[in-house]
Amino acid sequence: MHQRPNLSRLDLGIAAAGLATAVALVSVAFSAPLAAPRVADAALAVPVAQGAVAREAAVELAGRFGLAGTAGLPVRSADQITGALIDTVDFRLADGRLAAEVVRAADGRLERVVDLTDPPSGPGTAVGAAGAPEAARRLVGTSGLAAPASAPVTTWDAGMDAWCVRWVRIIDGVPAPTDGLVTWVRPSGRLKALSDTRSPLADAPPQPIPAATASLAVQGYVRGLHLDALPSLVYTAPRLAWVLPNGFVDPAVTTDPSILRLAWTVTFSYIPPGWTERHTVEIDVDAATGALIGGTETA
Amino acid sequence: MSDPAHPARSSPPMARLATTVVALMVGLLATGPAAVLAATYPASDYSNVTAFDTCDGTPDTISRSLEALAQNGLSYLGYSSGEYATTGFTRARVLSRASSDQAIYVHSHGDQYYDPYPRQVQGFREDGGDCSQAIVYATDLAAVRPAAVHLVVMSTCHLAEAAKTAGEPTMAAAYGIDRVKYTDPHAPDDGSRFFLGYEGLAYTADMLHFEQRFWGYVTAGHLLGDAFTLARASAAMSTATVPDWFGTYDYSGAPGSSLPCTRCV
Repeated sequence: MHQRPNLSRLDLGIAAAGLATAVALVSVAFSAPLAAPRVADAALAVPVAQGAVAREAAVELAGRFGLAGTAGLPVRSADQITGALIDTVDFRLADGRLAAEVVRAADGRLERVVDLTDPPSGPGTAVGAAGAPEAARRLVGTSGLAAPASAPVTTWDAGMDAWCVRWVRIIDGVPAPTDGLVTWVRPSGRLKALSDTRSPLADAPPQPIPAATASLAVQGYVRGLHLDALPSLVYTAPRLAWVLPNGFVDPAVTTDPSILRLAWTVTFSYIPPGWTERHTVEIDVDAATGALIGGTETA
Repeated sequence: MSDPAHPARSSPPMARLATTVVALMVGLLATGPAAVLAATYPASDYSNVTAFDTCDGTPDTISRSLEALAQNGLSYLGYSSGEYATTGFTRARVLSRASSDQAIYVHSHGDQYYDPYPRQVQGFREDGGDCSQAIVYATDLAAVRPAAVHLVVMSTCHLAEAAKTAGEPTMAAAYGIDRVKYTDPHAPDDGSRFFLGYEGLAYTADMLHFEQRFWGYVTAGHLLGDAFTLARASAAMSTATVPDWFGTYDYSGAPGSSLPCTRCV
C-alpha cells in the first residue's frame, strides 16, 4: 500500500502559479504572429494642433457622408509603398469594429474615405450603370473635391459590391492610368469608397522624344531577348502616359517608383513557344531620356 | 508504462492535473508555436518564376516579390508555409500537399483551359523549372481535397470568374469555398473561409501594387474583407486589373478560430 505524498498548500500554490505562468507564456507565444500591428510600428507623432484639426475635419466629413462610428485620434504614418506621410483617422463602432477610415495627406489634402460597414439601411436611390456617374459626382461634391467635367469610366466592381466610377488623372492632356479620382458607389447610391490619387510628377521634358524613337528602343529590347524571331509578335502604336517606374526591365533600376514620369508605353504581344495563349507586355520608355523605365505583363 | 494496480507514485488529483498541464505547456513551449503550427496549419506558397522570365523571354522580379509578400502574410496569420518556385512548384507537389494545406497562394498563369475542347476548366500552370508547365485543374484539386481550406489566393488571370462550362468547378469551389460573399459572421461556411482572385486579364505590376496593399493591411491586423476593401481603395492600379473575393468578409485569416483580430477589438 502506498502513501499519498503530503502536499502542502505551498506546493499547490506553486503548481497553480506554474500553471498560470505556463498558460500565459503559451498564450503569448501563440498570439505572437498576430501581435502588434505594423501600422503602429510606423506611426509617427502628429503635432497636437494638427492632429485636432485632422480629427475635426474627418468627423465633419464623416457627418456629411453619414458614416458610422466614433473617430479615433489621427495616426500619422509613412505610406507603406510611396513613403509619403499620411494622417489616418479610424472610425469604430461601439464593439470596436472598424467602420470607416479617412486618410489625408500631411498637407491636409483628402486622399481617400472608405466605408467598411455592411450595406447601410439608410435612405438611398437605386443606382444603375447609367446613374452611377451622376451619383459619383454628387459624392465627390460631398467630399469637397471637384469632379472633372469629362465623362468617367464606369464599371461594376464585384469585389467592392459597388459601381466603380473613375476619372483617370489627365496632366496636360496626357493620362496617368494609375492615378485619378475614383468613387465606388453602392447600388443604394451611398458611398463605398472614394480615392483621389495624385502622385508627384517628375519634370516633363520640353519636348517628348518621338514615338518612333520609343518604338525603336522597345524593338531593340525585344531583339535582345530574341523575341523578334517569333512570327506571332505584333506591336501596337505607342501611347504617351504618365507612369510609375518599376524594375520590370531592369531590377536594378533606381528611378523613384513613387514619382510619375512621362513615358511612351509600347505594347507588344506574342505567343511564346509551346504556349497557346497570346502574352501581352507593356514597356514604358522615358519620354525625356529614352530609357526603359518599367513595364508590366499579363499573368 | 506503469501498472495501474501498482502505481509507482501518486499525488492528489489537483496537483496531478496541474503537473500534467504544466508539463504539457512546457513541452509546447519547448517545441515552440511554429513547430506546433507547422503540424496543425500547413500552407503552400507557389510562384511561377520561370513562366514570367525564361519562358516568355522577358526578365521578371515580380514573381519573387509576390511570393515573399504572401509568405510573410501567411506566416503572420499563423500558417507554416512552404515556399515553392521553379522546380519546386510542380503539379505533383500541389496535388500531394492539397490534402493537408490549410491555406494556399499561387502566382502563375491562370485561365479556363480547354480540357478538352469545348469543355473549359479553371486551372493554373505549374512552374517545374521549364516551359512545358502542366496545368493544375480545378477538377484535379477538387478530387483530392478532403475539406475546405481557410485561405486561397489565386494571383493569376481569370480564376475569380464563374465557370464558363456549366457544371465544372471553379477554383474557389475546388478548395471548398462558395463563390458567395458572406457579410454575416454566421455564414454557413463557419466564417473562416476566404478566396481572393482576379477577373479577366490581370497585369503583374497592378497585382504587385494591390497585393502589397492587401498583405500590408492583413499584417496590420485587419479582417480580410476590410483588407481587400482598403487595398482596392488605395492601390495604384489601372482599370484593367480587377481583383475579387469570396467567402466571409469578417474572417481574420487566422487558421485557429480563437486567434484575435488586433484591429477589430
